[in-house]
Amino acid sequence: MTGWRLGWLVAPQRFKRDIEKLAQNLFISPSAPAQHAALAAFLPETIALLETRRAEFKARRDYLLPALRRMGFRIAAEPRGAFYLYADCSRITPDSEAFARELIEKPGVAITPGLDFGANAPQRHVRFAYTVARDKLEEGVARMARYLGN
Amino acid sequence: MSRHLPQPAPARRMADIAPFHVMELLTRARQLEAEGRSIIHMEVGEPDFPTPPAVIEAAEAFIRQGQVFYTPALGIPPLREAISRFYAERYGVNVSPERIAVTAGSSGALLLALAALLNPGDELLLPDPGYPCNRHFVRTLEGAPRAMAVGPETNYQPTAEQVAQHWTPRSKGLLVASPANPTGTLIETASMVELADCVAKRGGALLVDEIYHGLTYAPKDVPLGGGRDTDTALALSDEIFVINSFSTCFLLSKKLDRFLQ
Repeated sequence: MTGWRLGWLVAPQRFKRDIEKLAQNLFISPSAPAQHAALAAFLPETIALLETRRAEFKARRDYLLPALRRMGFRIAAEPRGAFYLYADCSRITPDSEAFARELIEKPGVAITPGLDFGANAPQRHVRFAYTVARDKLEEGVARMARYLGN
Repeated sequence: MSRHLPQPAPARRMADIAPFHVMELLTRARQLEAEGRSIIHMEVGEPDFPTPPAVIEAAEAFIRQGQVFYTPALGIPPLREAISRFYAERYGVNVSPERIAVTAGSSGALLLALAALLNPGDELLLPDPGYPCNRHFVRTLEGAPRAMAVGPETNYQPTAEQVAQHWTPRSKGLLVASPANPTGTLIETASMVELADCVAKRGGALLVDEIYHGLTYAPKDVPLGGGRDTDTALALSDEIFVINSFSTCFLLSKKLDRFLQ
């Protein structure tokens, strides 16, 4: 539901008035349609549907993690949530940004180089998002494996 | 005549606000796709699933009755109450609806929290790698983002020792995410307790981004629902700021968790 643009803040009680003043001045109010839609996010049928999606994300992670490791990416800390794998690519390339550009041009796989996430060895890291269906993931892995010669 | 008038310069802070570099790659990917090439997208930071039908129906019904007006600044009461009940049912934590502000995405939530906390020059400690927008929010508010390099040896999460080392008299708080972007790693409850103590002892604020909380998984080979569910930082203290979002929040109830096992 990313495009609905709805979130929330839980603040300590003593900040309640300050947060309210800021919200009044900066936003007036959150989107009314999005808020009324979000009420349905708590319905049992929505929760059941979302749970099947969580299972799908877990299955994708369980597939992608070993597949990337077999290709030479190092993923030293096991991801336990979200839909990202942050991989050390230094055994494959010294420059993650050039590597990401190359992957688009040659095998046709788009990934995010470390540069967007800070100054801590970004050239050695790339981020893979498993936000595509399993068959696409498998195709992406096959393309990269062929390209990297393994 | 306007040719000779001085032009307004962009604010100095703009030099410190970086674009999303991946967008350049995306532009190139789109070009190639327009030429007929197939690109597998593993760069996109949002789930690929459509909005649940019940949510669409609720939105349609609301819009159709035509009464689409401002709401209270902190959100409609039934939604704040529903979020409060969610914390009670999923985590067994009592969060009064009064403490909940509904916002435009979790970005709106972060802006409210930081604007309420930071004076110009105040430092906010952040793990690196991390979500890039966080440091830009701090900079926009004339605060000073202070990066702490984190690696796999600490699960890409800061430890209390690291926070203590990086803390200065100008430090105002610590912002962490669990699960984190880009690493997907969690902060275990014991570590979160240490971080909260470390920050509280120094009179600082702890902000926890829990937007991916509904998307946590047991280790491989442990079925979903097996093992302990992730705790919210709100279970540890009433003094912690927590940011969340409907985008990725999967709202799993304890009851349903048992049912699905």
